[in-house]
Amino acid sequence: MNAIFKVNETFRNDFTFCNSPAAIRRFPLPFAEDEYMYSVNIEPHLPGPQGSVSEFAFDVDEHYVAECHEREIVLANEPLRFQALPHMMSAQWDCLELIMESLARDYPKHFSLSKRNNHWQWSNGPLNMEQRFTFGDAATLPRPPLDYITRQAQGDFVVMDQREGNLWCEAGMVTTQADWSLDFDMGMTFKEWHGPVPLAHEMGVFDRAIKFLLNLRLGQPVRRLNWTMTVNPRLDTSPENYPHWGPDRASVNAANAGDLVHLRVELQGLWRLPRSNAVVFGIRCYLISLRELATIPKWARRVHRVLKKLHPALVDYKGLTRYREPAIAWLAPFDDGSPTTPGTSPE
Amino acid sequence: MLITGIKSKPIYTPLSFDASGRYHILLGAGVGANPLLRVLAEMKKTVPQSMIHARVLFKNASAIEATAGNVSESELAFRAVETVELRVFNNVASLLADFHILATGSLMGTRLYVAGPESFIGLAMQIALQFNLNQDEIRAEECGSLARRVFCIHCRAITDEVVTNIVKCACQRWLLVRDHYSRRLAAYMGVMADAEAPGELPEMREVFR
Repeated sequence: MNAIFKVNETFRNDFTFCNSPAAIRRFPLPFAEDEYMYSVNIEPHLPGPQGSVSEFAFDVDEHYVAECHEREIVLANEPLRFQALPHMMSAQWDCLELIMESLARDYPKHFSLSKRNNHWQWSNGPLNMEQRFTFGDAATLPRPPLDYITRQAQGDFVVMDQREGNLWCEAGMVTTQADWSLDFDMGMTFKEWHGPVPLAHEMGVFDRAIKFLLNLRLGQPVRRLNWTMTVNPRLDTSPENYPHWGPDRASVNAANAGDLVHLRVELQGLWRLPRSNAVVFGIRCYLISLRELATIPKWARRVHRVLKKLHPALVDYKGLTRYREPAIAWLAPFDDGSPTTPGTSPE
Repeated sequence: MLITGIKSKPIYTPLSFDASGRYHILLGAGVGANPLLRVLAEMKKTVPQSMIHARVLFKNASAIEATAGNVSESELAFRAVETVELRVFNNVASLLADFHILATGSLMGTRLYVAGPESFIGLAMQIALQFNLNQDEIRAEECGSLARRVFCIHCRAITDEVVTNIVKCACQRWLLVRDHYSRRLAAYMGVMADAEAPGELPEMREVFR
């Protein structure tokens, strides 16, 4: 991670967020073909190419500091965006350990962790934080362990307890979500939580996913990509705040779509946790405007075609109904009909 | 935003007596009396009278409340079942308060049977959940009104007895009632109906009867 942190960019009000050319080239495009349908697209979370978003367990990029600031703004107004049921304390410590160890190992210039028995010292350079604490003793941290560490991480985290042959959504930090509510979904099983997703249940996607995840092994994390679209680079598209961001959807036209409409990609990672046997589900959100996307000719052609052919149920579920047409119209001049090479690489 | 097909709603099946249990708590509201009476009949056939430990908490149908002093047919039917302890309530809140106390003192081998409208089952389950009763220990049968309890995702207020596709919340927003159900909140999600285009509301229709 050699990028300079863009500490002042914003994800609300004046929306100064943007991607550098390097960030555009490493953007995790979720479309390997010119059309899209659900699949159980889970793969081992093994280190990807140098500089890619999957090079390390948790990707820290140029937006790190700004995203942590954005999370603080959300939590100051809505403390229930972090929740954990009482029996999840052991899983909270597991998550803290996983994130601290990963960041310190993968980004030694920015983070460090030293341990003497249970006495840990954590240092976060970009956020200028230092903390000594006793691992396992929540009284030695200023906040619950999961709350503490996920305020220093990009993306949302949901912790699922495993019992009765099921996974239960019972702790989480969720401030950068694509229109789902932790507060509402707390205590749900994996399938209940994903209840509103159309088509996938009938396709058996969740049956297969849950079987797979129940057998997830320690030290063998997995990942998948998911996507939707968002008007403006707004991280907090929660149902709670839908009255604030809903009107954005009606503001798009073929002239402004390039700047307003963003492809929103989630890099979802799943890890088994060692003490609690829980599973942590990381949902890291990447945003890119159509204008930024169109700087890569292959991607402009591909996204144009994916949007044109998208199944109507997905158009509705992803909330694209009001602005899909202007987005397609904006991308059309970039699509000369020439074929795209297979895979997601820029060319 | 309205998505059809409710994957998050629990599946309820007709009640039957569970002979593996030792203590039986039966909660019912209104027409929920019939499934509970069926369970009690099965119990009497299976278990010797001296071994029966059953309690019924029952809320009369609302028509009965209006005429105080009247005894409903359901209540008479429950009274006719010997050795069963019966408590009758005029509102759901006091029934649930009593159930809460009962659950606090409940023992291993307790089985819970719930019968009534979905909203009643949801509230009873919410309490059962607090006591970690698991799937084998709880059974429920849905009967009666389909009216929904609606949780406003914006202000967290609950609106009870919702029978229409849209409903005005205490926060003055019109909410679209979604098919997404939370057992923990015992409620369906309500989301602002006209956020994207203020005033553009779907026609109000009675859909949950």
